Amino acid sequence: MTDYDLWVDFMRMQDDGRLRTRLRHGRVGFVPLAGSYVIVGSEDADPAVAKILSVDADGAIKVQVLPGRVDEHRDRLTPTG
Amino acid sequence: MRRRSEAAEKGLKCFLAMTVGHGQYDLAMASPLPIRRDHPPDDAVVVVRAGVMAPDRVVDTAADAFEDYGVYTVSVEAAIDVSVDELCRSSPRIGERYGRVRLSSFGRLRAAGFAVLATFTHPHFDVVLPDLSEVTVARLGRCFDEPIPNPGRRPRG
Repeated sequence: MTDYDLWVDFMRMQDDGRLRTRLRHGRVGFVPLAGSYVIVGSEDADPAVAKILSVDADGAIKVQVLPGRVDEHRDRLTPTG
Repeated sequence: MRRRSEAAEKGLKCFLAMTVGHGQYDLAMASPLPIRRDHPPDDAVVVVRAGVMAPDRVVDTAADAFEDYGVYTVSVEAAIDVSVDELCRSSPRIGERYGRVRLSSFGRLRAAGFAVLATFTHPHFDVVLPDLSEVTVARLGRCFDEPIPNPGRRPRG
């Protein structure tokens, strides 16, 4: 993993920014908490800040990707895992 | 004696197949894949997939789709009545986000045996993969040109 907490495929994102990914795509030690903000990204794309909307028992994670760059939302991020 | 219509006959066979199959398949219901009632685009319409399409990541995203919707798919966008530049520039998925994109067409994907479904909101489509084997993922990759700089991204200084 590189400079993001959770790998996502932005091409699967809905127009409203909602996106589903999986816990197995998280960096080592990543603990998803609904309501928290994390950095999502992929090897091919600029990372983004996303709010975790829900975490299902089967490992499905629903996030809301915020528009703009990570720096624009840095204040929302808190150190995790 | 009344004859069943051909459609009713097919429906009955389908029902029976589902009944017979109960013991063999995972019947946990996936969410329905939202499919639009769009006419299939012409073969010449350009298809865009952002990123370089590393095989491992193609498998990752298709596996995620399977868990969500019960079918292996890879998301793409179609340049219908717009240029590729405009599509990339206006897409909330591609936009400024990606450095490179790969281009194909509906014709190339269909010729390689991939169904392409109009899903979610225009211009999003899903390419359907029959499985996640190396052969299938490589076949999908061959449908696309080599990566090019994202034409929707403004030059960065």
